[in-house]
Amino acid sequence: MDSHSPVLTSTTSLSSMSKRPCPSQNPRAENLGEVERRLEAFLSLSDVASLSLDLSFERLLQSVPSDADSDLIDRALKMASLLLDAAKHSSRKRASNHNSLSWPLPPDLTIKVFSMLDTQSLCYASAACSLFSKCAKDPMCYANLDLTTLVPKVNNAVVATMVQRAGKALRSLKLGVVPGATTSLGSCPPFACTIRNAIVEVSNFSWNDKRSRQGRESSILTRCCLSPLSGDGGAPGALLRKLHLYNIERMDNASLGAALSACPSLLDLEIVGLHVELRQTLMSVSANCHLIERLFFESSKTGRDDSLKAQTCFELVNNCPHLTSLSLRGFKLHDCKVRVLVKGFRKLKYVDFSTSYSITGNFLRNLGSCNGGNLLEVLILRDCMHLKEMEVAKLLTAILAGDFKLLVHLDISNREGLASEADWYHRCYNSSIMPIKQVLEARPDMCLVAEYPSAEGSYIETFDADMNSEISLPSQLSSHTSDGSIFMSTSESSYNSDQGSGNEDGQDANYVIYEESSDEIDFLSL
Amino acid sequence: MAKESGSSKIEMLEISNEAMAEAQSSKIEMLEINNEAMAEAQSSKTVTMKPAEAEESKTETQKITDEESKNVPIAATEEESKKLSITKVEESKNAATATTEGEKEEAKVSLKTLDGVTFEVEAWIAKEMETVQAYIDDTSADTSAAIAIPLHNVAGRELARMVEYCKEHRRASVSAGNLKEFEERFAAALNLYEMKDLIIAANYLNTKKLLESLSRCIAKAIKNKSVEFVRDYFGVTNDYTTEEEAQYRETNAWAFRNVDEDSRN
Repeated sequence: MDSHSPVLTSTTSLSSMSKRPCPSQNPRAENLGEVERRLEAFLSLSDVASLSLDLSFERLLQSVPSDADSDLIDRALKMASLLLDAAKHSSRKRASNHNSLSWPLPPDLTIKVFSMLDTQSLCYASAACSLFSKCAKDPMCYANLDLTTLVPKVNNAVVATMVQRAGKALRSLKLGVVPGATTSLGSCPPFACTIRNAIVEVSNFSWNDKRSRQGRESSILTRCCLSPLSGDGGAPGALLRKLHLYNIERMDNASLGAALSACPSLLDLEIVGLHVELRQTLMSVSANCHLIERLFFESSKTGRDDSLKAQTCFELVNNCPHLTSLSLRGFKLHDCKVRVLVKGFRKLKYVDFSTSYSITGNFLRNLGSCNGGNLLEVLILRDCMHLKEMEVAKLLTAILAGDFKLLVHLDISNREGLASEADWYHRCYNSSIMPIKQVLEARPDMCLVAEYPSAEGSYIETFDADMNSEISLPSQLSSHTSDGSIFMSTSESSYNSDQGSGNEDGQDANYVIYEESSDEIDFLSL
Repeated sequence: MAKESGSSKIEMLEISNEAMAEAQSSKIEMLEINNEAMAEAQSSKTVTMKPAEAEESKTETQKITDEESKNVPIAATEEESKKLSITKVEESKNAATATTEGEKEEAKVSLKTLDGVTFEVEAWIAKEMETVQAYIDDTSADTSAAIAIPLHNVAGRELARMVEYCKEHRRASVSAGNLKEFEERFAAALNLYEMKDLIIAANYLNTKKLLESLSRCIAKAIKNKSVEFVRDYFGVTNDYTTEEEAQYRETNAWAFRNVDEDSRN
């Protein structure tokens, strides 16, 4: 009489199902118990060898008239199908119960863990079981959307779906193609130029992919990919704090401007490899994002964007007073405009104009002794083609004189040496007028990075005593915002890794890393 | 022979008058409701009921089962609240009788875990545990110094780890690099079950830094990992139908295409 609960469940389902095909039959009450007893006896046959069962069935067929055996076979197949469905249903129910009982975290903690995943990993977790799928539907899981990928595979529909799931809970959105970032963070930190070359490779990949599919857009982000931010009455973009965009080829000035107009609470904007103008972008930021604290903008064409106007600088300074971190890389930036920016922002602590053109260093004069520039903590002018030796010498002299009191990190390295006073084509490798050693002695708390190639092409004159202990400082400073959270930017991390190889021990590692980077480029080319 | 006798008994029952039949069925229903263990024994007798009544009876039985399963956590909660109220009563009595004149307030707080271990922790560590701090704020300083605070949902092993975390975290806070290194080392020393227990304890005591750190570690463990890896790692079973899973992967095709190398784990 005793029967196991799975069998009972199967029996119940089977009984209810088997009745439906025969509505005309008038079931007697005694059939319920009878069906269950017979089913239990039948299921006990599962211990019998399949060959024995096969023979029994054959003998059964032979015992009936020949014209009735096909009917018997059909009934056997039908019964097997019904039984299989009932068993599968019960098996899934048992699995769900097991998950509910064995998973120790309550739903709110599960949602908290899921909210820390990138969006692709969240999809994997959601596909694991229905319990996780239920937790993964919570908008908090989509508060920090990370849709960056190594190769293009996210399209506009995906972005729209994810933004819709987040709704007004959306706080952070990262989008685009970040080639090699995951790998480089873990193992080989490439130089900034390597990142740019890799971007070119991925651009080629995207173009080839587009051509080979004859315009199919199944995995392409277009200029409208950020439209969902202004949809649904503007709710998704209203509280967005962080927007990072990488190598979205079809994004243009107008569409980026429209996206920024939907994000009045933006604190952190990072743009790498977009074909948008510096002036247009800064105008959009100035008009819409008055709370912004961190701006990181790397040009997609180094040294060719000359669109910045002084008027735009004034407007940015006036409309975005909370800016504390400013990175403009690879643009043509004239000293007079840079000076407006650096002097104008009252809270500016972190400045990075690496790989910029047209900067001679003139903007640094008399900067450290007044309000605007005296708050600087980090100043990075790495690989600025037109940076003059004389201006750097004056900067260092000013530091010796007591200016730039809060400066803790200065990077004036240049892969091709500094520019001479008269002709920037003439490069200086061994400076006789820059008081580097004196600065190191007078300001031991400051980390000074000054790497220049010698005439033979190898790195010398590396000065840094405290690099290791302060490697994370620029990133921390640049990423800190008023809501107290730390945003670790991919490009920022990659670039800061360069500085990790600035000390004397790191010099050889620096060279080796460069070789590995070259290999990485070749790999991407294949 | 057995079947024939059973059948004859059933027929005899049917012949009985309606009044007796109703009384009998009522008794049977009561038996089912009151004693679930006897339900199987009574299954043969239920054949006397009409099909509609039989279904109703089953529905009621199922409802009772559901209610019982729901009542289990409620009962646990009630038991917990009873313990808390008893403790509060005891504390108020102790407060009335305690003589604390002349005694200086100690800088340490006593915490007693569910397995009877008592921890003496610095006040600033207790402050990190917001549940404990709220408890201290609700009682007078004199009594809190003298009596160990009961932590009914936290085991000694978890509390020891939490105290260790708070101490090391403060030491490592001098630099961001050291802090990150410490958190990774702390998490690497835990297996998955220990991490789960610790995160539940941190949630109960509202230790925000530790809760954040552990959540990040669990998330990191399954980041960029395949669906199968997630199931194995968390010990959950796939309860989707083949069609449901296929539909889900189709809806989120972007995430399952061009899977990174890491995802193959």
